[in-house]
Amino acid sequence: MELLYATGHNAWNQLQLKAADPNHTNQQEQQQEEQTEEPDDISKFTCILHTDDKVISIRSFPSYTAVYTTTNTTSSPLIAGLLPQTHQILLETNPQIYRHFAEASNDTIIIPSSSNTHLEQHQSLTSFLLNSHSGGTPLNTLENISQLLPYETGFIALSRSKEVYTWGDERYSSCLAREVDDNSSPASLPGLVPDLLDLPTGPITKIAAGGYTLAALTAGNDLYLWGDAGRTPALSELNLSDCPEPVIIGDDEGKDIADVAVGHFHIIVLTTDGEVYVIGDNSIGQLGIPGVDSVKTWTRVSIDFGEQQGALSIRGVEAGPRTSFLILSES
Amino acid sequence: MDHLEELKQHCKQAIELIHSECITILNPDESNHQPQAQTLAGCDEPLITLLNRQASLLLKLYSTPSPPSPPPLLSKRIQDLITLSYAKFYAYPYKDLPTHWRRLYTDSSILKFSLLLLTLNPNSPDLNTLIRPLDLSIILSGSPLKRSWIDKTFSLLENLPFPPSSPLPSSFPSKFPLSEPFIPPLHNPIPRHPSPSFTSFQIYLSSPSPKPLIFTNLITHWPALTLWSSPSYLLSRTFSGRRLIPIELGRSYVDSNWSQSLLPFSQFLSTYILHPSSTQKGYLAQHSLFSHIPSLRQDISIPDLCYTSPPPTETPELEEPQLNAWFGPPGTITPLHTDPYHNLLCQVVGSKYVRLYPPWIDEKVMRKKGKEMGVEMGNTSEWDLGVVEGWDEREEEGEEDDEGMKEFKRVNEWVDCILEPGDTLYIPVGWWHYVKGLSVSFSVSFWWN
Repeated sequence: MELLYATGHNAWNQLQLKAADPNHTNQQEQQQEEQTEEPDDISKFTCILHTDDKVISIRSFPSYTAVYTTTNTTSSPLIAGLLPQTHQILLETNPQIYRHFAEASNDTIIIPSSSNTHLEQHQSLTSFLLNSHSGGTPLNTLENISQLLPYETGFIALSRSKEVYTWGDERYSSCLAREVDDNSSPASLPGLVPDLLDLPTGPITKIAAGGYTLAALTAGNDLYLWGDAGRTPALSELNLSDCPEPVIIGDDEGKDIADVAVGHFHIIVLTTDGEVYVIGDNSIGQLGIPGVDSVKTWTRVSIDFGEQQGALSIRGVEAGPRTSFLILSES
Repeated sequence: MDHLEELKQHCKQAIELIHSECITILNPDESNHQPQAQTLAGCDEPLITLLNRQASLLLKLYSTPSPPSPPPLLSKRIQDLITLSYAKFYAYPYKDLPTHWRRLYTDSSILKFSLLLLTLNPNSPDLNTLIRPLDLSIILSGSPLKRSWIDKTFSLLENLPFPPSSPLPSSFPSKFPLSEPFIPPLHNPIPRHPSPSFTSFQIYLSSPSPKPLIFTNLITHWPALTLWSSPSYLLSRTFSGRRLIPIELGRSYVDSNWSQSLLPFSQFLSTYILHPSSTQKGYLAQHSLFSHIPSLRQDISIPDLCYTSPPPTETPELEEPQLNAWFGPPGTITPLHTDPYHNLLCQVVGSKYVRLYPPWIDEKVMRKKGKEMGVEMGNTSEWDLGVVEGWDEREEEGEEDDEGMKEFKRVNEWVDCILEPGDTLYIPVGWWHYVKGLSVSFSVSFWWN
């Protein structure tokens, strides 16, 4: 049995998974209510899903959330909120691509090629759909990608050989964390991040990104952060730069980090001893700490799991642009 | 109908328009497939839905004779729309920013203004907060499709009997002080002439390499020459100094501590013009002030000479001459740079020093900059003329480049001038120019091609 807790932006009911409420006998009535009432944001971690399945992944977009579980697989993820029309079309016509595509805030998308041999970049999801999937730029230098994520103006990818690649808008060069040269290694094409090779605690096993902040986690549970924090007063004390730096969270030595997720202006991490720490913008409750506008230093969030407090353990974190999620399982 | 009621009707019409555009986009109708120019439609459906919900709620409040206090979520959701659309201004280079994001920002700002107006306390109205969303919309987004609505809003606002702003205009001097702490020596003064006829200027522009000239009587009839030297006049044209304007902070835009800020006009006057500090300069620079605040536009006129046709260049043709205002304390600097247009720089208040280098000097000698952080700086020179000439202290530590400096100083084809009120400097396209304010100075530039 697993549970999903969430907090933050809820203007489109994107945190109201239908299955969350066991008493939803009259769904129609509930929907009508939704149309007339402006839904409020959620300011502290609240259970939004209680399932006998296992949660496999969460895709959190600005206006909706898609949750994949052992029952709700590629063809029918659980959806909360309102999908843009282009997303709806992609989900209906090509759920496999939908599940893995990455979309930056400047509309650029990355999708697996039709032969699934490489990744392709398209100007926008609209142009991809209008041109019947043709007209993309193949990203031939990227092979064996295990994780692909967008940030505001670009992308980050992790290969199976544990190398991290970045590409995107050259104006935000700190996000790229590598040398940019118009001829040999342009910003617009994937380039290797050299600083994330040969780290003291082993290779990178997971990446995360959001806003203009990027993150990578090593096999030995160290968290590296970098990016452009110019516009982000809430994250200013992290002193992000173009050089990935390990961060110390929790105690003087720094706790081991098990998982990380990055939103537009906030970050959430899970330590190996099961604690949740957050930093950044909380203006619409995305950190789950009621009553504060932002948190400028790493702050532990205590979460009330009610009666099940002892029986549950947090096994992962996820973030949308202005939302945060905890995945819990019965221990 | 009283003035406030008129303003509310004006807001109600704007909200109705936003509401009906949303409805059209959300319910595409075969008979109505004519796409509107500069439509909101590129924003995805969730955002249009959210905008529509807030417009409907606000419309309900506007249609109630004595409306209850607005639901607290209304202001929050309007702010969401502003935040979400504004994020796009950073995600795209501004020239590539799709118009629908500027539209969404503008329309959300109009909703925000309308909500603030509805809840305005008539006894102590916070007018700075009230007008902020509208000025931000003009400055940041250009307010596509809604500029005339916003201009009308400001003229309606000026009719309302509001208490005067602080600081009181009476605390300002009647004229700007025009002392000149430092006057650079002139070496190669630019010739001064009465204004040429349209035809003779057209012939001059078509000559192989026209040089800079000063026209002594091109703008002497402008009302601005007498009106703009008075702080209280400028305050009266800017909603008692409440209008927001973009200010450059720092000595020069190439310095590391340079930044931009939006300030009420009266605060700019009191902090940066009337009590300037030597360390922190504030400069209203290269701002399209006359489109932003049209009531100042009537004090100047576009010289006929800007409608001449210079030989074409690679730069696309401007449809209209481009007007910019330059208003700052003594000591503001615009570093040595080139522009892709011909320029008439008209001096209205105070004096400015200008030095110009011809376009045929080797780029290497001029130290033309390349791209910095993905932003093209190629029209700016690395030379800080004030430092080269010993007028200013070196701002930042860096490598001394004696050889390059010697070579730059050997260039002897430059010309210079001090512009006084009423003077117009013609800067031919491609000429490097360095501009330094000597006193409090207000200039207007006209670009054309």
